[in-house]
Amino acid sequence: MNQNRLTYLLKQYASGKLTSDEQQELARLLTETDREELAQYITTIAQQNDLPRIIINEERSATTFRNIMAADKPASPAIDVPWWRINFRRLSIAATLVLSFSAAIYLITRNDKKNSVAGSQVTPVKPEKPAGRNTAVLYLADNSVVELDSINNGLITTQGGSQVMLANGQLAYVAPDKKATTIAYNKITTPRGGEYSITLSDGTKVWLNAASSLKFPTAFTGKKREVELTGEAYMDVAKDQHHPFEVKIGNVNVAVHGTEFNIMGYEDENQIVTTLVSGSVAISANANAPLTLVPGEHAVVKNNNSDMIVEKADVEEETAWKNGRTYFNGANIRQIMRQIARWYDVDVQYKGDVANLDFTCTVSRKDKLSKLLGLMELTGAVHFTMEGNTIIVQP
Amino acid sequence: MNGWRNLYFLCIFAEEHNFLHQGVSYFEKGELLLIAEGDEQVFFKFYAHYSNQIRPFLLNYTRSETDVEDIIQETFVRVWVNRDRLPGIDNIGGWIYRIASRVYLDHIERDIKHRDRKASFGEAMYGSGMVVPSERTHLNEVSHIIQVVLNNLSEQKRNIFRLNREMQMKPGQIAAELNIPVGTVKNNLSAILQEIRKALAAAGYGPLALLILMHPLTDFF
Repeated sequence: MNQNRLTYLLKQYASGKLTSDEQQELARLLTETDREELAQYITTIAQQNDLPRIIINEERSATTFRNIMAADKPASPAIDVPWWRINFRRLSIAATLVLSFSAAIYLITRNDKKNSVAGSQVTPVKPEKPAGRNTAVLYLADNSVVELDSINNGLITTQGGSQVMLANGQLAYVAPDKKATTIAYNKITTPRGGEYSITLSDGTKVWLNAASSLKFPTAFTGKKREVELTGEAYMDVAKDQHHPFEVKIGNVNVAVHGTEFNIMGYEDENQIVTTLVSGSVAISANANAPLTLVPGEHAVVKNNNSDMIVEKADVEEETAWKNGRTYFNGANIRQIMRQIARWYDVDVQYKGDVANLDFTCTVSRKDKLSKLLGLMELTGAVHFTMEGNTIIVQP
Repeated sequence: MNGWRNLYFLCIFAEEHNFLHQGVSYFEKGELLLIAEGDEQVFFKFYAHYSNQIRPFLLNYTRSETDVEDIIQETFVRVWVNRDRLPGIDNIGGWIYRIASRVYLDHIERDIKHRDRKASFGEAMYGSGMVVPSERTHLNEVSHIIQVVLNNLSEQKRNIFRLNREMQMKPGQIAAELNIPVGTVKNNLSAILQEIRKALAAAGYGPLALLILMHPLTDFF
């Protein structure tokens, strides 16, 4: 085999300059030469040191890695399990229904007046929408965007030295062994109808609810570990007494050491509620002196005020979402509908005199919309129809 | 007969050893063992290190960056399905380069044949927007073959593999979860990879796969 000739032909091929004759020659060469011999020669060229240096495109390399990992990942089943087939080992659906039925009977109503619905021109459509899912968007330090989906597992990219890994709908940042030289900020946002969980480089786990965002450094290098939140998140902060963890949300600052808590600060709720599950947190509004919570309490800051109320909390209600449940315990219908709007990505409209009803019910977050609304309708106190993507709430 | 076979391998071994002297392996035994057990994080380090070594050559000897990534992808899928054998391979760098070289050659050959076909039909037939995705099809084939193997696994093997690949569980954790001996888990994982390699070989990824199966550097000791 004429090695120089082969090298020449390959270079011509690579630069798109192969003439028709040369192409035929190359084809013949490849077919007729012993593959082993060819491979050995290619290896020699490939290992030469005089090849021009190139810049590695980390994003592209990461994408390729994801594809490699996907090659032998067992394909997920495509079947949608009907709700009555879900196994009964966990919170059984039957029990949920019973609970909900009795809760429906238990219901506190203020106004029993029902407007009789005159024959309407439009046939009312029963509201239906699938539940939210594991989805989010990751904004990297260089402003590039990664759409996170539970399907693509593997390494996403490297940010400021930290490796960003994705496994089964969870994002994890693996801090570098040596100190990161550049501090890069990433931001993860969930849309309406989305939720995501992420492990930060210090091991802190964050569950992000729908319509929320978390801005965070890819590696914690300063005296404090600081992140910025909008919307709602549940955090399990890794213990590090020397580096307090701080969450900034709206006008509230939450400082923790090693702790589990929930922060809810959706703008349309007009309040920021921090619920402590375990550990200890110190909360300050408008940079005033902080108040400390004990587990089981929550702090409520209303409307960007400096006033803070600390009281006993219904921890189960406030953290149910993180455990895969939608749970209301005497919650106001409007608050319920706001949550539904966020998780099912629908709009809500009120028609007629919809009273301030309180509901108590629980369903799985995976359940379709009709399930939850159906339960509420059983009380007879409220009715739902759907127009396009809007739920109409009527007495 | 046995003696002849050993002699043959000995020759290959010697020749290879001289030809691809790369020195000590860059990765420690511990890391290779983790990769063997399916650790994606460590494998990413491994992948980054070696793929970045190969990319300069590929970039200069293929037509586009897409080609480069396709070749890297296929090369490392082959490395990955051989992960359980990594700790036993003496010159990993050389081994990877050999795989990459063959994948590269196959790619060039396919591409030229495809261009030939295109030329003989005339550009008019393909029009301006129609690109025949020969490389995509090829990569999908490899994935498909592997998925078929995975779909035909016994329930226990399927569970073990799923826990290892999706949940990134180590053999010890899988053993605890399924209440079976660790040895069983490791053997099963290895057996699954063997099945995948056999299926790839049978499907025509022949000479290379066979080479890997019969690779003297591991069979020798």
